[in-house]
Amino acid sequence: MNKMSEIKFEARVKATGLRPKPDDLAMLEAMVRELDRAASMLRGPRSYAEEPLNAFRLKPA
Amino acid sequence: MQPFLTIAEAGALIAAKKLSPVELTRLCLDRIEKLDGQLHSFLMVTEDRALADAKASEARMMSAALKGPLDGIPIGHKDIYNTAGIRTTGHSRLLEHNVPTEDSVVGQKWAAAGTVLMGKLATHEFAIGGPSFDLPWPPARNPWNTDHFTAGSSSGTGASVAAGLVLGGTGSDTGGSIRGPSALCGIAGIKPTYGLSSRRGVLPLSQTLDHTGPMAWTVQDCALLLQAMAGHDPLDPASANRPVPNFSADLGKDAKGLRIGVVRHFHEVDNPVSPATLKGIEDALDIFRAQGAVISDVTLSPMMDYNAPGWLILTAEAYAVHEPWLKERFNDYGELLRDRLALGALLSATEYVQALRRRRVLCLETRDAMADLDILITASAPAEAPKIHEVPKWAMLEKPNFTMPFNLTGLPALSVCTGYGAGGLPVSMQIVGKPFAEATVFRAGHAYEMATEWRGKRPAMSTALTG
Repeated sequence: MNKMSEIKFEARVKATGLRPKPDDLAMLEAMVRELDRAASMLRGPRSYAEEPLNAFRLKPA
Repeated sequence: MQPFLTIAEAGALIAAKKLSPVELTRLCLDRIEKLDGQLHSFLMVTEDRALADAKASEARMMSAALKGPLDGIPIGHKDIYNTAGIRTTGHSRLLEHNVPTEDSVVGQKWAAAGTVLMGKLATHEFAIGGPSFDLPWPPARNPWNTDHFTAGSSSGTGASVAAGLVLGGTGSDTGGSIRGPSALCGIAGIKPTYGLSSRRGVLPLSQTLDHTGPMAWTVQDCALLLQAMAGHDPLDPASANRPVPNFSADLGKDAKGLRIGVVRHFHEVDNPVSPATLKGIEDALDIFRAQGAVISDVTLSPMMDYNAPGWLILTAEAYAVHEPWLKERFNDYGELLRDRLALGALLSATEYVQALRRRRVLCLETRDAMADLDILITASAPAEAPKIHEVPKWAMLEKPNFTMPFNLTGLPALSVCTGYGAGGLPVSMQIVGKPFAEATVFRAGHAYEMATEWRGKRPAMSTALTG
């Protein structure tokens, strides 16, 4: 991404409608990186065709 | 009267007219008065209500009209369970003056069973984010050593049950909030199968991960409490419409013939546990083996694979619950909670969908891995309770937690005390069952408790009161 068009974290938060204290921003930004890391673990070349659709409909043992 | 009675013991004595519910309630109120200034496990003590409940129970006892094994038993509700006419705060400034008009469904059921309501118990703010020191009430302390953490979010229930201020209480569990404090406070607590007990009238956090469940001193007591809270609720969309079995049916059987899978990589590789925790698990396996259980190791996906979608789903769903307040009253939340929930605003719909897809795969994988097993065993917590001021703010991915996999998959999971570490603080293990097979989980947990001495030891601060 062009440096000029990068969205600053503060603006990204502001766009959500939240109004954190300026002191909270650094911690929040650090935690977003951790969230992104968790999300990256779920991105993968998985086929929808092979995906179980109803696995969470639990049945008795 | 013995100083520390289990629910089963007290219920039997009341049924035999050998124990007055009023006397038992006064004992607990006295203990609350003497200890809770250090423990902070109660946000509100409902003394008048407790004595009224106890007197009504005593009248039933005298007229041979007891409602069952919970009649006259002092209990507390985590302060996210609505209580009619009694303040319900979620341990948050946002609901500091909130007085519901109706009891939660679980509260109604326990009241109908004759329990004695002692008060409302501390939680992490809205069942996530603690320990916090910037809320209207302090966090609960661990009765085994008040410098230490209780875990959460059902922190007040864990502390008050362990200290003997109540005989049982409610918890809720979205990522481990029943099993974590049960583990660190050295009591028993079960997250039942998803949908087994109603969440209606309980402040929500994450609709596909939230569970309600009981916490008590023993596994047997958890079975009695769950019996009175389970059942279909047509107004809870997650509620399972199926008959409630007798959860105590298999108590008294040992582990002979049980097929036990040990998820060794969870507690030895994915998040290695403390020596005392590991010894507790190995000793438990020896006991089960000696009783005739068939034990084998089982391999699931790495624990982190369960934690990543679990935390993303929780964050997204919790943000959806709190978004209106977050936009209006962001700084009225405690720091831990507002930082945690704000992440949900920055999470894309794509990430949520991918997490749900991964969840389905993990549910199937776990089901298949358990096909020839009755229960799984791993840790409930990595170690003894840390000091309360040394708890890291958030550590989502550094060390995955042992409890989230079973919120994600909805399986019943019980934490049982397996002894005490070098500092005298409890350690524990987790027993996991197949969907709606709580009776088997209770059977294993009770067989273990009966074979060990751990239930005979209470925190020193409580035993000191008895002289």
